[in-house]
Amino acid sequence: MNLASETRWEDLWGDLWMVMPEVWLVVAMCAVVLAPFIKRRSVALPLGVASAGLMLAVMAALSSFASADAMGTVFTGSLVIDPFSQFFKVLLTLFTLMILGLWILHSRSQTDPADAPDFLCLLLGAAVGMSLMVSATNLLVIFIATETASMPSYALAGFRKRRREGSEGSLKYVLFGSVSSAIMLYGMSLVYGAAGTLSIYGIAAQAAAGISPLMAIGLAAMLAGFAFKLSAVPMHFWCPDVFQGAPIEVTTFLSVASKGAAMCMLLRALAAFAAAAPANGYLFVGIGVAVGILGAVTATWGNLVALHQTNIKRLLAYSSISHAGYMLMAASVAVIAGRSWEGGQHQTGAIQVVVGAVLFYIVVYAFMNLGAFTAATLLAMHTGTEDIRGYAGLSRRSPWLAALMTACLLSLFGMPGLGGFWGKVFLMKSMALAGGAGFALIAVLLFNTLISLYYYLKPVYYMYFVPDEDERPAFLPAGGGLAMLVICVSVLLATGLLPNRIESLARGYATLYPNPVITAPPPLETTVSLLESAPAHD
Amino acid sequence: MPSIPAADPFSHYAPIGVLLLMAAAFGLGNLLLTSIIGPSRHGKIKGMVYESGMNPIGSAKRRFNVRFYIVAMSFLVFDVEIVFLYPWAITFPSLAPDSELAPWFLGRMLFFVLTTLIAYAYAWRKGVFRYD
Repeated sequence: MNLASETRWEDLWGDLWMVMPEVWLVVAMCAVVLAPFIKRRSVALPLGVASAGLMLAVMAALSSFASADAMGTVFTGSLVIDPFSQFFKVLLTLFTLMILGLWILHSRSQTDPADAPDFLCLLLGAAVGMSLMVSATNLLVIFIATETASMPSYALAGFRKRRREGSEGSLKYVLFGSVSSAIMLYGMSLVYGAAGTLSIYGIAAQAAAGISPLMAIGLAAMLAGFAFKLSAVPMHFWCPDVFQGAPIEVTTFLSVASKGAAMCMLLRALAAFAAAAPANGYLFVGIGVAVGILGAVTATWGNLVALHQTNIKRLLAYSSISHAGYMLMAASVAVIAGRSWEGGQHQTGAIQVVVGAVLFYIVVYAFMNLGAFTAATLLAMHTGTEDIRGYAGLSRRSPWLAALMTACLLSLFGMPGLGGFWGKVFLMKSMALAGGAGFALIAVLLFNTLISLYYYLKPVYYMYFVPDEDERPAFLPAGGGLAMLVICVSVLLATGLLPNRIESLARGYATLYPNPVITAPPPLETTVSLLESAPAHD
Repeated sequence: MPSIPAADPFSHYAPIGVLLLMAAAFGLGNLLLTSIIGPSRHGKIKGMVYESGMNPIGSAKRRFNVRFYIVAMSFLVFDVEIVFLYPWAITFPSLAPDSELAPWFLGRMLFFVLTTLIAYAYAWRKGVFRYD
């Protein structure tokens, strides 16, 4: 008898068809690297190949919505393909395409053409890791996906080899990343030791039977790994330096895609725990409270430190830390509300509300951050400064750019009429599900929004109310960049004016794959004897 | 399987513990013995790099050409690849001879080798192996 004989190869081919988005991205990675064999020192060829791969990945992810057969678990349950994961993959690949646009706009002229395939390959590699992260339900896959997303990010952060800030940020990123990966891996080993299974559903079921101290320590250590990817507060020190030193398109990519993927991975794990929570599972509430406190501290810390920043990239870095905090606070409700909402009767309903709100927030956040960074790029290209004080008198020199950037910054703050406002409203609505603890979270969110108003308005103040002393000439920013800004702001207006329609759309995609029936893992000795009884052929 | 009392799962690890103790005792014992009974003569020539190394010139803290590191890294890629090939090669014969999974298993490993070859081709095109 043989372990492998239980799976049929037709099933494996079927599994491969279900992960076509990732397959296309991997194929594109290989093709991009081989492009110099066809045409040396060409930027257009690898760029075209990468865009084609991303387009195919978008279409593959979209096509999985067409039939119910395309959803389910693959590779013996280690990956889950559900509307939630496919929605994020569509968003991620489209966002990566826009990052390519930003790269053409900003870095192409400064990059050696021989380095273009390297950059594109690293970007696609990070995208593969992130799309695996949202599907992962197995501790090993979670770890490998996180590393697949992290490794290219380290290299991307220091891609401009001659910039000292870039190298510094990259080194800090590597050191922080490796330490937090080690902590996460150690936590996983403890959790595996306590639960005897690698599946998060199995772990949740084991935890529902009673959380041992070993498992509690393991889960806390795993949270450290998630916190690193989200740049939540004790693990956030890499974030401002990396964001400042990296090329601006990489900064944008990391600030949105990397955090979004980590958020989705955390949501999936929390949803698994919430679904398994027993009626009197106070320890489960403890998990939720831990995540909630992490989020509250992250948001407050990020906002308070952002007050002093004068470099626009550092300011947006701290702003992204605080936004990760808002999302964490909402995610914590998934576990708390799983019990307290109508006596724990509608757990999956509560989870769907929370996941829908966070998905909506990720979409809005992606576009407002992309817009703010694009505007900062255009400004840096024309004024040569990333300092906020260099924005003086911009409303006269380039009124359109000033207006569009103001719209993005106000949306980040949460101005009514723009998407960011509704993002926060839906987060608060989902927090309210948790009862008393939820209202504390709402209070923290409102307080933080108030603080953030100061630093989001600081660039606006310079743009509109401080006259330019150097009398610099007016300029018209590059057409492509302006077009991207217009796209971002129109998405923000659309989400701001039709919030209910888009939120119900997001909630529709917030369908997590139903938890599989938990069977107790086979005892270790059975597995060993299965392996030993495998027939040897000579 | 030999019957091991199942009450304590850690008893499975007892042989490993014994092995660790034996290894430590062997290593430390040898060190101790050589320092006690071995003759010890030091000299300038004897303290130099053994056999294949370069003759030491100047400080060890000078900067090396980056190509050494790149070659070392590309060597590591293939080195690690072989480490992955071994367990595969050992488990592959345990498949039934007429198993329909065999092409799948072979295909996976071929894909793995292919990705390494792509990396090699990339490094080649990038000029990693050019020494002039």
